Amino acid sequence: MKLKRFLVPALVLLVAVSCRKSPNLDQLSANPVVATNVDVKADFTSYRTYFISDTVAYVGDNPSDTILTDNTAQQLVATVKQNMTARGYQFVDRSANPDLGINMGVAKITSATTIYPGWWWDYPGWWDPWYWGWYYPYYYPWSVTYIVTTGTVLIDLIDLKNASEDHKVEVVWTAVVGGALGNDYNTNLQRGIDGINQAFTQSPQVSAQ
Amino acid sequence: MKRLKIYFFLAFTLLAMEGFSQQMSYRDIVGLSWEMSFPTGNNFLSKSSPAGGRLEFRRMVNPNFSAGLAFSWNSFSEYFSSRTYKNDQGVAVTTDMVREIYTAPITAIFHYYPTLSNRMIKPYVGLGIGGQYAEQNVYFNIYQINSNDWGFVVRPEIGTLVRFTPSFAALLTFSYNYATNKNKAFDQSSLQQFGINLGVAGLF
Repeated sequence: MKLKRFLVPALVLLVAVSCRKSPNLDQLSANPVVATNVDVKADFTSYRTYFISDTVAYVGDNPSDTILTDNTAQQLVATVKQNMTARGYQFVDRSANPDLGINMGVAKITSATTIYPGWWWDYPGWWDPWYWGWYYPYYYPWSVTYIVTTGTVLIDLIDLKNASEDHKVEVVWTAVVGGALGNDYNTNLQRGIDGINQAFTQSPQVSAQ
Repeated sequence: MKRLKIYFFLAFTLLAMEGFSQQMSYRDIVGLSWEMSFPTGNNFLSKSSPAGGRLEFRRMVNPNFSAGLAFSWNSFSEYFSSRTYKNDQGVAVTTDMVREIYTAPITAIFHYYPTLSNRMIKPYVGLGIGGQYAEQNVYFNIYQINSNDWGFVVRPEIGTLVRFTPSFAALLTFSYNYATNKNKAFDQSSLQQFGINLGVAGLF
């Protein structure tokens, strides 16, 4: 009886205090996550020239959205060019046999989606390997999962100079800038630009010097 | 004279046993305590946590020993400002994050109680051995990395009961919890924490 008198309030107290404490995620910033993967065997000083299109592949909720040519694309491309110039690389036309090719894509997705290696090549607007004159596949380091209302910028640096005899090319650097999107376009764009700059900052290997 | 000594010894022993029988007016101890923990020995997080508790049951097998079961739980979390994490394979990730650990050790517990003349204070040393369920989660932006596993746990402890009534006592324990739970993403091979328990115990 004594045990019962003790156990009842003890169990009530146990239930009350045993609720697992949830972490405080309000502390997290809204800045996108910046992930890069550099080919540690690549000799970035052996490259001198690069080409990047002035348009950006786009994946959105509307299937007919395949490419960005607007202010977003211009600013993102300009940011990549500024960083490449700062690292000692020279922009040339695609017909001038650049050492490096740069693919850039933007995804704005409002439902859960996972992008697997190679998937991009089936998407209209994304530069397929034939754009560079070679065939699929080249090395892709990871898949990316998009969840509700996320924005992601993907950049691939492709080694065109050392394409093998069978015309296989490899990605020597990949950057993924991703996170939740806010409602303000300028804020989202600035976060994308900051993310690209951070991607280069955390990749000192990408340098012609 | 020798016989007198033996009689004296027997009389003393009987008196001591009588005292014990009065002292041992209970057989079971049920403890419920608030547990504050201080993680140590890992690079996953180091912030202490007041979010924990412990429920334990001890049965006295003789005046100085008890055996029983215990269940504890703890939630740890810590915010880390933005920094770049790199590995040898050329991968670098820049983000801020919240890291979380949740532990729930379930142990068989054994305690030794030295005999004291003071009946109000009942100190003890103990050892818990069992399994620990643990989750180690990382939250960044809207993403998360989750891992959970079971590990072997050893928990030495020292503490005391302070009897206020024949069937009610306060409980104070200092413990060290070592568990083999792992976290591959952060190269962790164990989880360790110091704990302070403050609570109540029913004596039945």
